[in-house]
Amino acid sequence: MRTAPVKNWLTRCLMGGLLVATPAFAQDDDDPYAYPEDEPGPSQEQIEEEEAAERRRRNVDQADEFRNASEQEGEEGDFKELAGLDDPSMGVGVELLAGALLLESPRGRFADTVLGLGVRTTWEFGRTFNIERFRENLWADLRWTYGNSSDGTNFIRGSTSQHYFTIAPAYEIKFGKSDFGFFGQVGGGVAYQTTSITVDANETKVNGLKPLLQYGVGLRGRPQLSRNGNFRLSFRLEAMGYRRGYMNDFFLGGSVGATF
Amino acid sequence: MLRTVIATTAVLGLAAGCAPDTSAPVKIRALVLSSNGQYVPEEVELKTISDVVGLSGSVADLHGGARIVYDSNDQDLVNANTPEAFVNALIKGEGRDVTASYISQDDVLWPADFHTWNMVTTYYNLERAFDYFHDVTNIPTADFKKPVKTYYFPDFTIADVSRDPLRDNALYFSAMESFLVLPFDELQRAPLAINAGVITHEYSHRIFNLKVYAGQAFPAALTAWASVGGPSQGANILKSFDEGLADLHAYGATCRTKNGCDTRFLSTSFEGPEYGSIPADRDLAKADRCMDASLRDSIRGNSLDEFSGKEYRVGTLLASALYQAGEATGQRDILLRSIITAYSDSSTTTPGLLQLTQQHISDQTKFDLAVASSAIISHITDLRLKEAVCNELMDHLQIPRDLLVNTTNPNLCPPSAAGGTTCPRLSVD
Repeated sequence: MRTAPVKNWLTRCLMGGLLVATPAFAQDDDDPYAYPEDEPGPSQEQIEEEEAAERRRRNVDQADEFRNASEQEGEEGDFKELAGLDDPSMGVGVELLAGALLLESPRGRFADTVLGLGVRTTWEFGRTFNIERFRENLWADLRWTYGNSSDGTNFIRGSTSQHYFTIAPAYEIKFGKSDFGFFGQVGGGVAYQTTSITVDANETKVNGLKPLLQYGVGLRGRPQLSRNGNFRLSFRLEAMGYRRGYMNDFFLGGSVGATF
Repeated sequence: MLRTVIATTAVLGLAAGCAPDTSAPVKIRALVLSSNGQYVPEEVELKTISDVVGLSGSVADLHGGARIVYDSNDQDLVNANTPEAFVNALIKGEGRDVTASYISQDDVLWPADFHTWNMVTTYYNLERAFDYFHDVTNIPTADFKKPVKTYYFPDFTIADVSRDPLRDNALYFSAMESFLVLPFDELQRAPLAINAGVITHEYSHRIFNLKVYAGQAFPAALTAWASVGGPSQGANILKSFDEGLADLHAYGATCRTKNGCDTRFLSTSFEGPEYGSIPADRDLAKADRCMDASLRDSIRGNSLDEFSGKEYRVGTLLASALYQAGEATGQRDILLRSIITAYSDSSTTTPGLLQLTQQHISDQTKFDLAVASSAIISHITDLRLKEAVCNELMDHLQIPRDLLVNTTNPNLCPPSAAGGTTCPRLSVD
C-alpha cells in the first residue's frame, strides 16, 4: 500500500518531463530555458482539479493492488503478500521476565521459592513458511532465566545461582482474530549452576553445567501499538517447568516487551 | 581464601533425567573438621550409601519436610495403643525423601547448595558414628538393626510447651526410632548436623536405647519409674547415664578424626549469651566437678519432669569421671568398649544395665548410682583401669566406698580403690 503514492508521483514527473517542463524541474540555476514568468501558471481551478484527479487515481491504485493480491489467493507466495499487508513487522521481539522460581527443595519441602528474572528474544519463524496457521502461531524463544538462593548460619553459608539457557519453539492458538492466544512450549538447553560454600572467611566455589529440558504453557498477547503495525507490545503469563538433570524446577511469572 | 572448581565435565556425567551413580563407595565432598580445627570441604567416601540423591543407605535414611506434633490433648495420640499408632498420630505431615543436588567433577560429587552440604555431612557423620561403635566398641553389624530414619529440618512441635516448632537441637526420639535434626535459629556457628560430635552423641542415644532399653519405643523401666509421678530416682539415673555416656562416646569418636580428641566438641556449634557456656559446662577435661548435696537430693527426690535439665549435670559428672580414668591409664578405648558391654549382659555375676533395671523395676529406690555404676565397673577387666574408674566415681559422683568395695560382688572395686580426693566428701544422707 505504501508503494502506490510513490508510483503515482514518479509517473506524474515522467509525464511532465516528456510533454511539458513542469515548474518543479525548471528551478535549476543553470537552466537557461526556464522562464516561468513568461508562462501563465495554473489557475486555482486547475490545481484543484489536478488534486481531485490525483486522489481518485490513488484510491483506484490502492484498491487494484489489494484486489490483485486477493484474486491471486491460493497461489504460491500470495498469503505472504496478504499477511504482509496486514502485519508488516519482522516478528522479532524482546521481553523481560519476572516471577517466582520454585526450585526443587533438596530438604524435601514443596519447593524453595526465589525471585526469578530473565530476558528472552522471540522469533516468529512461522512467517517463513507462508502458511497461514503458522505465520503468527509458530515461534521460538531464546531465553535466559536466573534465580539465586542462599542459606546457612553466619559461620557457614551457601549460595547458589541457577542460570537456565534454553531454546524453545512454541505453538500458539489464537483467540479468534485477536492478538491474544494460548501457547504450549517445549525446548531444551543447559543449566549453568554456580554455588559457593563459605566457612568463616574461606569460600569455595563450584560451577557446573547440566542438561536442561523446558516445557510449559501460557497466555500471550501482542497488541498493536503503532498504526502501521510495525511495533507491538508483547506480554505473557506462563507456567514453565525445567528439568535440571534430575531436579524439577518451575517458573510462574510473566514477561513484557516489544515485538518489531 | 577463594577456591573455585569448574566442573566442566558435569554435562557428560549427568545426562538429562539421570541421577548420579550411587554404587558405594561414593566419593563426595563433605564439611569436615580439619587438623587446624576449621571446617573444610573435604573429599570423603560414603561406604554405606545406596541412594546418594535420597541419602539413604544401611546406616540412615534422610527424610525431609515432615511435620511432627506432640500434643497430649491430641485424641489420635490418646487413643494410640501401639508404637505404630503413636508414630502415625505424631506425624501430621509425611514430607518426602530429600533430593540432594550435586555437581560432578572428576568422579567426585560436590554438593550444589547449602542444604545438600548439610545433609551429606549429616549422613557422613552418622556413618562415622556407626563406624565408631562398630570398630571401637565392637558392636556387631546386626545389632544396629535397620537404617535410622533421620528427619532433616522437620517442623517438630511439642504443643504442651509451645505452639512454635522447636529449633536449635538434634535428638534421638525413641518413640519414632528416629533422629531429628531440627532447623537452626539462634545457633549461628557450625550447624549441629555438621558437628560430628553432636551426631555421635545422638547416635549414642540410639545405641543406649537398643542395648539398655532393648530397643523399646517406650522403655519399660522409664515408663514404670516415671509414671509414679513422685520421686523417680531410677529414671533420673537412667537419663543421666544416657546423656553422660553419649558425651563420652562422642568424645571417643573425635579421637578418630584429623582434629584429634576434643573434649569441647560442642564449642564449634554453641556460642552466644544463651548457649556460650554449654561447651565449658560439658567439657569432659574439667577435673574438679563434684556432686553436691542439692544435686544428689534432686536425683533422689525429683520426679522425672522436675529433674529435667539436671540429667546433663549428673551425666557430665559421670562422663568426666570416666574420662579422667581412661586418660590417666591410657586405656580409653578399652574403657569405651567395657561401657558398651555393660549396657546389656544377662550373666548373673556381671549383669548389665538392662538386667539391673529389670531386676529393680518394682522398686526404683534400689537402682541408685552405686548399682548403675556397678554395671560399668564389673565389665572392666583390667585391674588398673577398674581401680581408676572406682576412684573417680567415688570422688566425683560421691558414691560411698562401702557400696563398691568389699561387697559380696567380687567384680566390683578392688580394696586398693580408696576414692579420689578432688571433691569434699558429702555426708551419707
